[in-house]
Amino acid sequence: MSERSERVQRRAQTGLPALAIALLVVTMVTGIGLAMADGAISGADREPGERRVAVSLAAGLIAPESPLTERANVLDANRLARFDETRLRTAFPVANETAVAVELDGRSVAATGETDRGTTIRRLVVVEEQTAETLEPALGWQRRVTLPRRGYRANLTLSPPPSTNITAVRANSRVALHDDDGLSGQYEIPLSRFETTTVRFSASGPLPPGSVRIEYDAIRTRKATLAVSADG
Amino acid sequence: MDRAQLPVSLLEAALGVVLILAVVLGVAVGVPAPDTREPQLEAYAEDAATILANEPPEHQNATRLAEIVASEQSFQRERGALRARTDEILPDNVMFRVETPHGDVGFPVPGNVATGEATITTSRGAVTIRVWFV
Amino acid sequence: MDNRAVTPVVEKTLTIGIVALFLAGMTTTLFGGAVPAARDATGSSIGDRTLALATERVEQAIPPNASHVRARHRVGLPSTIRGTGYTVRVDGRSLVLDHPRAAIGGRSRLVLPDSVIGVNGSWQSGSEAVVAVRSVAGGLTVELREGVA
Repeated sequence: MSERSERVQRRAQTGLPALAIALLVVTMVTGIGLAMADGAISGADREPGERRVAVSLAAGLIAPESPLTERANVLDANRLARFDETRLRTAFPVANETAVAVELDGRSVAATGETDRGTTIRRLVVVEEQTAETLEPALGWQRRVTLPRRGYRANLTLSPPPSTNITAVRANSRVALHDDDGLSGQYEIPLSRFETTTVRFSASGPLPPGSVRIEYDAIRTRKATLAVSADG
Repeated sequence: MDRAQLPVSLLEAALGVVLILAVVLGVAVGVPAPDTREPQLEAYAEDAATILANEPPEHQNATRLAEIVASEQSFQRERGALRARTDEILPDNVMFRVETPHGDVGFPVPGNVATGEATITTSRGAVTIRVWFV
Repeated sequence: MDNRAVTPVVEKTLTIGIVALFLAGMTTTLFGGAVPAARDATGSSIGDRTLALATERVEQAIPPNASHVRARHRVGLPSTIRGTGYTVRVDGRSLVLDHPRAAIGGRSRLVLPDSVIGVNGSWQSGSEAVVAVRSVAGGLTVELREGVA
């Protein structure tokens, strides 16, 4: 009987401290659990708002209606050079509310804030540059000249000698100008932007050099990547 | 006291710890990260499609995409050029597959990767370009 | 000998009492502070995503090179955030998410082409959300409407 009560006494002595330790352990683990849950929630939040701004602004910049583009995904080199933060803010007011940065091939085009820790989206574009070129070709016996680069349109200045009538001008296979009485003066003809144009002249007599002058804006294109970042 | 006695509270506490950690790990690991790679792939596909369809390559006279898919012969003749051009347009870390009514060019699409795609409708059929990160 | 220990009855009673107190304290702490804070954080995160999704859908509803447009697009929004309904309304050229809880809400500016001359309407959570784009004299109007697409 006393042995039993002794055993009971010893059990009683070790009971409560063990309970205290157990409760402490549970509290600590709950604390760790809360910290992990907090970390998980904040880690999962990828700032959907700033991602939306980056995606929408990028889409807006390369759209056909954008101040930078000639057509969809085609940026005009001159307009790109003149683009700056002010024009960005005016054309895309979202740039006033969120810090955005626009880069082309790694070089900054315009920015309204720091976007180091923001989201970036990249779009593939073509940068198109038009350079004014003039040709005063010596037409061979085939009376034709191939323009070295593509263009949208060309200005022809025709001044044939008095004995010659230029009756037709063809661009590739289409007849661009036609007059049986003879063409003379300034004309504008369309060119193809997909392929280089060969201009052929039909004339009734000799065409010495200087009879024909062709001025056109030669198109040069290069591929580039437009990167738009937003942080907010 | 020969028999060793494990205080039951410690056993209960150990069980409690395991349970709590199991629930917490379920929360922490189970939250999926939003996939930020897909919108970028969709954008790449859309841009490649637009440039292929509407813009000529820089250094040669172009056969337009519409002409390439116009007939079986033109497709067979131009498929190498199409593949090379698509490869040039897309960045280095992206692979592609272009599916036309006459056949496909590019790389085989791997399973289990996020892909982006865009379709160009021409008068001779639809051309779909699929891209994925390498 | 007797005074170092407590009897088993007292010990068990003490154990029950201590555990009960512990549970009560833990429950109060968690549900008083940590759990509502976590719910608010999650709700705020979902609110941000919902607003971003709504903004994206409105922007994507506008067709390029629009001449004569009459289009409707359905938008899938969650029916509640943190247990309560919410509103998505238009303020100028921005969308605003209104929610009874202060921690949840937001405002995002739409990126729209100049051809869009007006945006109006609002969505109540729980009903079918529709974006309607229409050509009018001078451009396009975008309306947030409820109902069948």
